[in-house]
Amino acid sequence: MCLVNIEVLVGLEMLIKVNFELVTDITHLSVFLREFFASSMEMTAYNVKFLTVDCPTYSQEISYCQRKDVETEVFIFKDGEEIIHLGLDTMFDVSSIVSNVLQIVLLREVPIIQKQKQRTLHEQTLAGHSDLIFSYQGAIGTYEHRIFMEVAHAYTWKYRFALTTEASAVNDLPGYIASEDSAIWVIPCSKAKNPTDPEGCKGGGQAIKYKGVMSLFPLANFMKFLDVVPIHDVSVDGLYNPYKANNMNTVYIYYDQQSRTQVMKEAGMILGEYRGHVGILMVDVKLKRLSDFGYLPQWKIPALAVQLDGSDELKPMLEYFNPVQFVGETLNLAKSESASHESGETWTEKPLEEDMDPDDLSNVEIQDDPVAEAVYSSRHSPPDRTHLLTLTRKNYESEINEREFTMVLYFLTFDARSMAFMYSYSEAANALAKLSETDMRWKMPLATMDCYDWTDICDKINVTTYPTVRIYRKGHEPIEYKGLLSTQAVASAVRFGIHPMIMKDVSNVSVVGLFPDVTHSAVSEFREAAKQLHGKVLCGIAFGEVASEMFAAKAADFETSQLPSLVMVKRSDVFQPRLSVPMLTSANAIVKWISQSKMPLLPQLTAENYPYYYQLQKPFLILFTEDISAHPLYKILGDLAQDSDAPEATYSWMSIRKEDHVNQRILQFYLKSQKISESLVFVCFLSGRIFIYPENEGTVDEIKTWMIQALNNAIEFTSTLEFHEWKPRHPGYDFLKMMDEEATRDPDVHDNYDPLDPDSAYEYQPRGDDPDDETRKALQELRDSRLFHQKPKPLRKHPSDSRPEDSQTTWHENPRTEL
Amino acid sequence: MILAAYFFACICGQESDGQGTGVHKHWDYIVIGGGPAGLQLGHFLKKSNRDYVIMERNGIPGSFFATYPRHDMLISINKRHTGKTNTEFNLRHDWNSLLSDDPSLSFTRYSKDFFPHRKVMVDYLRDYQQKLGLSVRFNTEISNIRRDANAEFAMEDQHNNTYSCRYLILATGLWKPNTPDFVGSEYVEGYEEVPIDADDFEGQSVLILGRGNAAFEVADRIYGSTNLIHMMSRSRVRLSWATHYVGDLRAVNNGLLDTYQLKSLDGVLEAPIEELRVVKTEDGKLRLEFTSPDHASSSLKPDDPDFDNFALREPYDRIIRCLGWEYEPGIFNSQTKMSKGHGRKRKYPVIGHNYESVDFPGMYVAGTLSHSLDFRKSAGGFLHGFRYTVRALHRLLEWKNHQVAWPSASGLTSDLLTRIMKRINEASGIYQMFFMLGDVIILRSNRQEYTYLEEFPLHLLHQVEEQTGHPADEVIVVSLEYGANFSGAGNDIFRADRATGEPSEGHMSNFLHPVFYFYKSLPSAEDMENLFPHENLPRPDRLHHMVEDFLTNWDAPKSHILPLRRFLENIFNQDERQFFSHECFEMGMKFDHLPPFCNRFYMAGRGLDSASSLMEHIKASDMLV
Repeated sequence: MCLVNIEVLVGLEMLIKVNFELVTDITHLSVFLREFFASSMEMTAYNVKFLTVDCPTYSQEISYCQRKDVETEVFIFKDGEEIIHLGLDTMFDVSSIVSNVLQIVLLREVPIIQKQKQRTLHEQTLAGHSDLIFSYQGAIGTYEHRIFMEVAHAYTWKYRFALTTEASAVNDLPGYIASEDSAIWVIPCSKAKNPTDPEGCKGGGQAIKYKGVMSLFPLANFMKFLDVVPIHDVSVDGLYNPYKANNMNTVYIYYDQQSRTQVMKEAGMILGEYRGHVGILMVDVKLKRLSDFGYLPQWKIPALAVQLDGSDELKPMLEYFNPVQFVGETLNLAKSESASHESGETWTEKPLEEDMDPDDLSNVEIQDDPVAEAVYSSRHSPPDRTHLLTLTRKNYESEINEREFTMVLYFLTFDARSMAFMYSYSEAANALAKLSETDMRWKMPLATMDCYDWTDICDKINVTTYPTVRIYRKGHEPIEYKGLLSTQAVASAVRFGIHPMIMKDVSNVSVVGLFPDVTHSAVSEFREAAKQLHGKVLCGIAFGEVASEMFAAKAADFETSQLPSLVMVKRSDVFQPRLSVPMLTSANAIVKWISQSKMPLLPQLTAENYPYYYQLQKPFLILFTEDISAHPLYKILGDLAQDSDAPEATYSWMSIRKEDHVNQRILQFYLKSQKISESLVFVCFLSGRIFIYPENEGTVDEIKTWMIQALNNAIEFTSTLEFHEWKPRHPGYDFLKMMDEEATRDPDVHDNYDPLDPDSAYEYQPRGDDPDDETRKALQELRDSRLFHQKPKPLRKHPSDSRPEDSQTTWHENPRTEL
Repeated sequence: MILAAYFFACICGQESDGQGTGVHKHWDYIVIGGGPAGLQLGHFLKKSNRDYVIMERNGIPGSFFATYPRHDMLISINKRHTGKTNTEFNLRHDWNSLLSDDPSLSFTRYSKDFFPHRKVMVDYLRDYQQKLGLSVRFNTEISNIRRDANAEFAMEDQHNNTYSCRYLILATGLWKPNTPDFVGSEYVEGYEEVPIDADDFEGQSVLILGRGNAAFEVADRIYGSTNLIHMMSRSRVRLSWATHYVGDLRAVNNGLLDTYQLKSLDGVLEAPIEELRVVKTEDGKLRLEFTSPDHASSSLKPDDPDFDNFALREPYDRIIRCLGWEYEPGIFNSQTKMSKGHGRKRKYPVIGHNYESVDFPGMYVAGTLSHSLDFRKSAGGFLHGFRYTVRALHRLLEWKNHQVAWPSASGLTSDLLTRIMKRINEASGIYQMFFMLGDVIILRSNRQEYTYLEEFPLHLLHQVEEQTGHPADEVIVVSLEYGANFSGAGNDIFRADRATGEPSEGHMSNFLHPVFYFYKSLPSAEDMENLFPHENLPRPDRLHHMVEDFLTNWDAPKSHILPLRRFLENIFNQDERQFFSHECFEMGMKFDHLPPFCNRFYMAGRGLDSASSLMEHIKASDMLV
């Protein structure tokens, strides 16, 4: 069959009609011809000839030239008979031409199946005979289709192939993912004893999905490796590794008598997923020269390690648990694939700084900005803006001027940060909306202004960065909101802005200045400090008798003994519910004291307060725990925090409950282990070193000593902070380079290739640097060698012999261009 | 005393007619011509409190529009709706409004017609002058402009009043008909005088010389009455939708192309007008002959036995000349006449890219007269284009003469992406004056800060510092450009592959699209002069093309914003990604450095929380991957 001539013909009539000056008009056709010529080079190995016919010159001799569609179609002949004609629009590049033509060459060998039932029938006919390699191709004429056809062409002697373009024909197969454009399965029908054998291929139950990247080299390797015996037990089959010689990935499984049955079962499971990608080397630990097979004595039996092709290093599975998953993660065959198996709870190394391949241009358009990605992927569920007041040119002035309180978010729809914040902002509006049911002051305090739609207004008030949030209060100058962009923070700011007295709901901290009388010199300083802390801390002031009474009432708790003084109440601080100092003399000093003291003594370290603690520039002592109040070290740490002899540090804790993924990942990073347990961690930012306290309990003194040793580098650290420079992750499109290359490749499409001169096509050189070239050659050699050993089918007569009398001579001698 | 009197007149916003003779008056700026360009410049001069006057020959502003177009219809579009409220964006499609801060001076409020009547323009310009209180001396015909002893410009009017100024701006437009000399040209009627009533052409055969909008305007209005219309010009018809040049033939006037190609006797052909001879026959008809300039003796006549099928062999009843306008230097004395351009730019005075005469420093050109800079390239010859070049001229003058630097905005380069996104999606000046005016972003402080200059004349890029007053070394230029091989008469601009949607093929975009040039140092004057024909600016150190967009909304997250972010990141040499607070937190706990975004916002207490309604969706979509 493969020695049969297939000819592809394209009419050139259109080319001749145009004159030289207007060559630009036929750019699309000349581009097609370049691809056509390039394809012809690649297809010679498949015994497919590509011809062009100069129709205007030979329209009499060749009947095809009189056809109307000769300009827009490619005609494909087999044995002298036209079998199909395809539109130029389906053959836009080499991949689409090669895949379409190969599909026709292999029409019988690689049938196209449209229904699941058809596939099942096909499987049944193959049962006990041959394995089926079945592919889903979202579209025909793609690169993925092409490589599948190339592989099929090389392996039709061994496997049966088929493909479908209908997802419904494959959605029962294991590992089916709806969003994939193409997929390939091996359905092991040869193992089935009869067509209905449930152990066999019926319904594709045992199918193995190809998990590598959809490109020729890994796919060709996969096909090659399918042929290699997948399990090799060194004590039975020989003391060598057959996979290394085959350039395969090797999974080493070390077993003893007890574990043999278990690991054999697991080996089967690994192969059920990764056959064709790995070979399994079974190593009995009774073997004398165990170290030849990578085994290290400290490994517990059963053990498993993976050796990637080309590497000498064995990656051991530290704890023998779920070997299939470990093998998958270690192989990391396709990045997107591995991501889909993880739901964020398993530990992946450096999830946030995975480097991009700078040479891969497709990465340029892969969104790596989490905020932009979040906004984009939620575009179909936009924020609920029911309770947000939309400002326009018409209502802007009146709303801002007449309302008691308005917070305005100035945003741009194409600014991802603005739009991400819009979700929080509208959540806050919804939460506040409940209050407006009883009090009109709460009616729509949050407003938005689209600075693209109302660009002149935003210009006028000098809004130039986005998002900008301003607070307008009647009779006051607008204030720029500089707080957190969060639901909570916005709601608090509004509450405080409208009704400062309910601050106690908002803030856990309040401060009272107690003075002997109004005229005291520090009163103005305190007032100034209160002004600066407006919106952050609720400040109160008391004079004379009231102050004395308050003082007396609480005197027992207070550390100071005289007026004037500053008193702070911290409602949620278990260790330090209130504290006080004698009145400070300057506003700045008051602000500083309040800012420092308002933080709880033993805080829970969160994303929200981390920036504050970090800027204190002290090391962090962190207790990672599931339940802080029950932890034996909780009390100890509280004491340490108040101990003036203890090393300078931020004493804190972090929750590692099930839902705290971020904290869990941080602890995994510190412990250098996927498995986490409650730990006391000392993070020294200055040295970048991280120490883990070895015990679960300890006294104040023990921990103090340990911390001092750590600070002096007297003990060994567990891990270090990672060094990372935040450089661009991808060079982006280098248009200068692209344009330069295009200029040298084809200074102008028309300069070195003249579509009117068929000879010029001879000079066309195929693009040099196709990484698939070598694989392609190997596949073809493989195919050719099989051909030699198989009985070739009898050669048919030359097509010209069988053509009708009137056209046969011209057909053979016609002025066609053979490439 | 005299000065005081004039001062009073100025305040009233309108100069009184100079009745007395021998009065002398001096201003810093005299603008000659009270048309759209003169008024536009007047607005900017007034706004910056400059000492200026506009001299207008006639009694109203924009008197050209009292007569032209002869058939009344303006061909600049009056697009009142775009579906957007963005005032700047909407100016991209409002070709008639002048720039001002008064929203009532939007031309779209004056007429509902897409192609309004010329009288609307007259009303509009009158209101523009009056509402803004621009100082115009009407009925003042300037002549004899010359250099005086102080190296200033002196001139007088028809009443022998004399005026002088330090800076002279010529904004007279093109108003003198182009009347080439040929034998029998006296039989030819000009566009400026030809009757506009179609009845006057009843049953006549008409030849129109010219192939521009005026020629087709005339043909369109009379072809229902004529036997036939032939149109003749030296070069082929250039359709503005094929060339992107609004000065070429607009579709609104091209009805005659239909009747020509639909074999209805009308016709268009190419022939050199200079070699034309018009001969009056005995029955009063007009016959054409052609003379070859090389062989004066040999001529092509309708009765030539060798050319019995000469296309124009039938005589005509009328021949109409519609050959456009040219610059009239009559107001200058012989010493101060600006030289004229060459070739197709011969109808314009020669100026530099700072709009200053190359012959006489201090003499500038504004409006249509400055179109030599972008003739057949951009829109500088038309109101919607020159309202921006006039603003550019004013900004150049402000710095040069008054040390007021070019208006600018500054910020951190990390905010630059959004600023650029906003500009390319709304800015009108760089949209109308594509290729010519562009935004120049000066990078400062180790590329951490920028100064943003809008609508700078790109051909002065090498002088950006001396022309604007902003020190510049490293710059990014934002310009809007058409693809190099797209436009042009004869190109099939509807071909199937005319558009691309691939960001990686941005450089092959044919339609107007943003182009970004990054220079580590400003190009030299030499670089600017030695450009290849397809280049608009010298080769930059890095180049980015944002792929064309059918909607001209360049706001797609992955196709437009992301590749631009990568372009900027590589200039700033840092990762500009944005992160949510919890991500910053995690990185803060693990890494010794934080990404710049986290440092700037999260660490300053302005972190971005992931709202629960946003996160819900993310998790769901993650699982779908």
